[in-house]
Amino acid sequence: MGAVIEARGLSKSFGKFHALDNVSFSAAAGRIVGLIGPNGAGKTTALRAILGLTNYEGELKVLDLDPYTQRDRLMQEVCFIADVAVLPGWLRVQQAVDFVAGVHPRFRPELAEQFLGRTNIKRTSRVRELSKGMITQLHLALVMAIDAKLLVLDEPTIGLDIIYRKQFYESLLSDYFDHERTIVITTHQVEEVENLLTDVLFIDRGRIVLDSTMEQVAESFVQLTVNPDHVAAAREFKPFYEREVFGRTVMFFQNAAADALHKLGDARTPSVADLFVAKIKGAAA
Amino acid sequence: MNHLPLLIRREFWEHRSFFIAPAVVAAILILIITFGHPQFRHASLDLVGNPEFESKRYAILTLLLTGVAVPYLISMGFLTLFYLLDSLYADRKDRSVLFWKSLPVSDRETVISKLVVAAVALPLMTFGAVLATNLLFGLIGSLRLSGTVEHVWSMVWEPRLWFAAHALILYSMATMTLWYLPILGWLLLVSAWARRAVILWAVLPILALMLLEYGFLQTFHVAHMLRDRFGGWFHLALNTNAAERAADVDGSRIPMTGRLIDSIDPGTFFSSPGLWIGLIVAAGFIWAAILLRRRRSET
Repeated sequence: MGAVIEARGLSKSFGKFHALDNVSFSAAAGRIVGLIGPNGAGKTTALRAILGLTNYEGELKVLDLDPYTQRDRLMQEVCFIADVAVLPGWLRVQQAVDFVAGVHPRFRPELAEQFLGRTNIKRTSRVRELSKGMITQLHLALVMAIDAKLLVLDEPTIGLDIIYRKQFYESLLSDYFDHERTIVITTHQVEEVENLLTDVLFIDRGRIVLDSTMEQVAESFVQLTVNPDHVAAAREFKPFYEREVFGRTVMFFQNAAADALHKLGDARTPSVADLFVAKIKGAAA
Repeated sequence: MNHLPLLIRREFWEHRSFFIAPAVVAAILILIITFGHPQFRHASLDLVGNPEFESKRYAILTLLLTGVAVPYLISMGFLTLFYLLDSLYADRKDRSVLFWKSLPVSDRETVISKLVVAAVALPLMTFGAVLATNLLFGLIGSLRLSGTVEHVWSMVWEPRLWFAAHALILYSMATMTLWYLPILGWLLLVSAWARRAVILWAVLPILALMLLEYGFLQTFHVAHMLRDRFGGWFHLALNTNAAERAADVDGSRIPMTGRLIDSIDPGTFFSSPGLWIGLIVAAGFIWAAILLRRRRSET
């Protein structure tokens, strides 16, 4: 099986603003891709294009379908939670389950019931009567009961308390994810998903800043907390970003000689969040 | 897979006004039928009991049964207007469109389901309400007249009378729906288009067009077209001349024969170019609404 998502020269402009500027990337089956970028970077536009919610220039195939013109067919294989929970207020919980069961050939109602059984959500409640957290729980229960090839999550845990957020990601891994499925996820809480991800895609001002597997990240990036007397020596290795933390200099290196760097201070693989900041700020400097 | 039945059910989940509006009309009508003076176009329940009008009782009863449909149709008209204006707009406004679009339902299916609700489901439901109200009307009317009119039960419950009155109502509703389909299509299109103020988008472009036409050409084609569309249905679908001519012998203005069903004139209606032009325009509006529905994921 080839790439689940294949984008080539993807562009989308709103007037003079380039939300996506000639972007190319791909995602293979069985990967969990974190799409990470600041607000307004083009994350949402990219997801919207993948989901067939917006038109675009360039080439884009999702599961070998054109998302914009074949959205209804694509949605048999893809499910998504775009942005915060968007279930309509008038809908009753039971109606939501019945509706998805009626239109989705890959929806398993018993699985949704099982997920809902772990919550305090009443089947007769209308969505508007539920708390924000409960609405998200309901939406997740619906989506996780769909046997989809691609799951797209855009800020899935907004409005949830920390206990449920943890639960969500645990059940995403244990109940949902297997190695044939692909998940694309965006979130501001990068730390929470860091251990889940197999791939990261950094996006800034409509361009891809980094497209890498987590293994590659570990191999090619080094975050060095430099010993004060080795700062000049460390700079010889051309860090792409450096900053001060508690009076000490922290430098970020790409494809530098790791062994040599170890002698200059405390070297380790940067966290996704730190790497992201370094990449964005480093590129801006 | 055919999603249409479920998509239609969805509309009924969302819009409780589909039930509330006819229920209110029914409640008012039942009050009038039971305690008031039900009347329609010079025919009234009181006249049925009047010996002077014995020969016209059949006509009076036909008019009364068809008259029950009128308040239901007016209520349905408003319901349809607001339903369609909201149908492709409300979910964009509350962003639930992102949920609906996450399911394998095409934009075409979605738009068609809204149209079917407005053009088929609501009229059928309204007809059902008319029929139920009339059955109650027949029962209560018979009871109210049973003291003054002989053989009232066999007269009121005459099968031909019921068939004729309800065939006329059903025919009128069907032809009305076809005649007004371009308006339904326009409302769908505006609903798929507008980012806010849907009602203004439905009306202002047409007013602008009329003003431009008058300002540059000093003509009124758009206005006349609208007038013919809104007022054209009655005289194309129903030929009331025969019934009118038989009326007024005794100054009551109630047709003698009471055979209102004779006024059904499908030949004239279905051979009028206005109907077919309207249907083509409606198809264009609906097609455009589907395209816009695909483009617009948020307001």
